[in-house]
Amino acid sequence: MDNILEVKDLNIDIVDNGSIKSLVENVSFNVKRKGSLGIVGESGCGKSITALSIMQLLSYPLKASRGEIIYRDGDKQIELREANKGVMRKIRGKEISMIFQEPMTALDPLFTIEEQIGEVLEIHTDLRKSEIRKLVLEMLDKVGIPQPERIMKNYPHQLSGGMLQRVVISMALILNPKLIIADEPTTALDVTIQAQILELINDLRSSYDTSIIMITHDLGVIAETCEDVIVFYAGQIVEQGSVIDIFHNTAHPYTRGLISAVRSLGDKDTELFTIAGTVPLAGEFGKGCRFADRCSQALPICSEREPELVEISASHKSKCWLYNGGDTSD
Amino acid sequence: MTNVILEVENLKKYFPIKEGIFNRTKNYVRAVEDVSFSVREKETFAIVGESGCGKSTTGRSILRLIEPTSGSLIYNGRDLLALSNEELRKLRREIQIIFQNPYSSLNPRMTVRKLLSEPLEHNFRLGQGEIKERVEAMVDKVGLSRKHLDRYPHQFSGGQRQRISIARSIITNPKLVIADEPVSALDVSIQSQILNLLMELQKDLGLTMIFISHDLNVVRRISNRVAVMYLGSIAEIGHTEDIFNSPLHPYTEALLSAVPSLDPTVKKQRNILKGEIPSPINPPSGCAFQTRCSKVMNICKEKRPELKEIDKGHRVACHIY
Repeated sequence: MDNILEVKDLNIDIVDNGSIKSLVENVSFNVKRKGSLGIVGESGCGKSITALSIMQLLSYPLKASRGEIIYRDGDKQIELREANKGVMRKIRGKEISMIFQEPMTALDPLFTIEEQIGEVLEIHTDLRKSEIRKLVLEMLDKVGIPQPERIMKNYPHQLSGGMLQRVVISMALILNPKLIIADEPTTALDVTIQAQILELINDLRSSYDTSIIMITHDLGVIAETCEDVIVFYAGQIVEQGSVIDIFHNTAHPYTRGLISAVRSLGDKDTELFTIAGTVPLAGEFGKGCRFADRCSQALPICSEREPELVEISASHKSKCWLYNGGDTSD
Repeated sequence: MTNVILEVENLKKYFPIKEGIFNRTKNYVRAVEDVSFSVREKETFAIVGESGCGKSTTGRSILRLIEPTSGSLIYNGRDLLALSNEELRKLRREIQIIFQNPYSSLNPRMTVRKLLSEPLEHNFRLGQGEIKERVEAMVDKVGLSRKHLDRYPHQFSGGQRQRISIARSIITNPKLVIADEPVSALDVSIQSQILNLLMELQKDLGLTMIFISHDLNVVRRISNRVAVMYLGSIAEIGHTEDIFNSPLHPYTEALLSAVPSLDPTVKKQRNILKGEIPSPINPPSGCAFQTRCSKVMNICKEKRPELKEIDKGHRVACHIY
């Protein structure tokens, strides 16, 4: 199998008042070359820090305490967690780049658009000023910015949210990276602009053969842009599979709850589907399944022992006792 | 025919842009440009639109949290704009608002008990015993527990805080509640809990609700009638089913088709809008939507379309009709 990124048993901890709490636990997934992986989950489930840890951008009090993050490119294989600063600097932007949620804060207010996109090229290439300028102009044109000659002289505050997100995307794409991590790239945008940006990301991905990790809380965005999906709940993967597995053969009660909560909006006659209760906080997890308290199908074993993430079909895994056969024997 | 509780006519709000040492008004942000609609008793009337379309300014103008530039607001036969501060203060127990962000709309230094007692102390002459009773009944009603009463807002999750905000808004027994994006800051699984609560309260208490939102799925579910706003004006207004099943305005069509589908096997035929929302400082001539409209005609650039009734109760501002 041809993977561009393999994450194995990743654990992320936080140091809180001297005690260590686990935020992400035993997370493993692969990103296929030219593939698109969606990571979905609610606030605080650990999806964003997982993304940051791939880029080695976690800082105190957060720490990736265990696991492997392997980046593969042809014969090259780099373990990112062990990579030193110099190696990481070459990877960021050039091999793997990131699109952040808030384009308004991802850009530096003191530099023009041209300077900020150009900086990426200055650091990673030996191009001359005039060549850089030409590339920036081309890139802005590709992401659909009107009058790029004028816009590139502007400062971030002069542009709208949708325009700024295009700028951020052009920064992420200008070195033609092999993998893009997009952390809620359209959450801060209006729906009509979101549709534009998602279409742009899909188009660019097919013309550049880039792989993408799309992190979002919006199931609709996942259904429209991803081939594979992982569902996070309270720092763990609870379900993993192809987009068809997730939406049409939904296995985990949490995933089913999320989908039903959105779907039931379309049904006027019944009460809205809800998942009772709230997400447990880090450090307050019980010994059983973390979703057990909120689960309508909970079995006695669910609050006793934690289920494994087991295969239910070749492409589909679920971390739930309903699929472990509720087997208590061993 | 049900009674009209609120009549908004030709509402306008221009925010001045001041510049220079003499603070002279250089220009205006035309946030709300000539908006008219009426809200009927016990219905949920939704105002939907993208950021900057003027939906929140409209909501806040009704409460006079923002003073409108011109227009008229008639609530149950009384002109809201003619009220003195004292009369307005008294009336606000009948018209309440729920804000979007439950993290910033509650005073962090007040306990839940204090947060809920305050509106009663200000608006009614009640004894301490009765206040206590009403506050306790209210926490039960919104699905919180009485042991929560002596906690501070930071000790609650987002969904619980929104329950507190809702309790605070309805404790004065209002007739009209303006909910300004009440679930936008919440996660999906919590969002439906709060929507269920709002629908239940509305039914129990006979509230009239103006529901302001950018989320079309939520609006479709919760409202009886919808007004779609674009750049300060109403593009289309009508019964929820009419708006969603047979949208007339090209903007409404585009807005509906932009919502991502939940089914990965369905590839939606998209009608993706080109370009950006124009600036309300310098709006386009004629129809506000003409710069992005796929069906634009010559007249659209010259003349502003009026709202025209196409079907019963379904009105649209577009030259096509």
